Amino acid sequence: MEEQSKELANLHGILIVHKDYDQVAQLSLYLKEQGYNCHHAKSGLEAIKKFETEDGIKTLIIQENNLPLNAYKTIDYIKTELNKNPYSIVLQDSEGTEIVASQKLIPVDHFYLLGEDINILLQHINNQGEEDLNVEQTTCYSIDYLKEISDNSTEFIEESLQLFSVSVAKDIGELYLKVKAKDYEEIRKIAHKIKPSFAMVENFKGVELCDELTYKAKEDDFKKLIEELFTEFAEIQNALKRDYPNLNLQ
Amino acid sequence: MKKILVIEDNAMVIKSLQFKLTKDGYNVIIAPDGREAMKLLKVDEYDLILTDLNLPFVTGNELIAYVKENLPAVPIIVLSTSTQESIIMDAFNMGVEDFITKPFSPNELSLRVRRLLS
Repeated sequence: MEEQSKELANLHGILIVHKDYDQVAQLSLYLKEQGYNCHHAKSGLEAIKKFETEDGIKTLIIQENNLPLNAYKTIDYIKTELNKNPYSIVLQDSEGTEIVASQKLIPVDHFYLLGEDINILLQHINNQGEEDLNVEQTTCYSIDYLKEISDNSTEFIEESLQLFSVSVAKDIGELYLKVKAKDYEEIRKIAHKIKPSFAMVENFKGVELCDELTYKAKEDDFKKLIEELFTEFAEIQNALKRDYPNLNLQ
Repeated sequence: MKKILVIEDNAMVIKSLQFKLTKDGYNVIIAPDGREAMKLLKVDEYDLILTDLNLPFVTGNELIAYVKENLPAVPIIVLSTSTQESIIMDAFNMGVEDFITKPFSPNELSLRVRRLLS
């Protein structure tokens, strides 16, 4: 098992981004011992340059609050502008970091709190390496229905996916506002409106959540259900960003 | 060219209906809410109305009642995500000609629209 992990490690490089190398030196040394090719960058900008010029980097471990580009902006740039898809781990310096909704939409694979057990992190990196060997993307959405409607028109499909991304993000934003205002009747209406969007990309968990919000939810359920719906949406959004980098989804 | 008024507030559904019905050879006019639909119905003529039930400002049921009273010759197809029997029955009791659930089957939509416009 250990042998296999080391074989996988040799297949890819890891870029660690942190303004203070001393903070991540131990992590870097440990990963090197496991056979990974570790690189280091001080900022998001430097990381982007490395991704532009080097091909072997498969994992990005990046400090969350790095300036001037934080981890999320850097990851987003690398994925959407450079069309590269490293396994992305955000390094958090303290447990209390608040992640705002827009940042949750950036496709991060894992969060790691500096000081936590390094073996947990290593396990994630190793698993990702194993997944790389049998590339089978998980599917939280499907474009079969959009193909059926449009006789496989790429233009229609891509425009519909963009609409999904923009309109559902806006509607879920509305849901959060309405739950704060305890306007449950309006929440039911918005959920009813969103439902066909999830159905059209064949995400049936989203459809079920919309139904629950529309017909069954009681006062105490709304917040949790909206969170779940947002998570489902974010998963689709991340998959779309991965599969359609040309769409420049926000 | 037959003119269809689509009253719908979901952007993806609007796009799909517009694509499919235009491809089938119809002139498609979109109203994103019931109030806009009422304005359009007062100034222009349509051969068919496709409407959602849950609409902002003026509900689908209010709109259906208006059409049935003032434009009784214009057939109505309700498009709804609801599969509740009571909602479907209410729509038929108000006089709508057909009821399609969303997301719609494109071939089924074509057939039902053609049947009402032939």
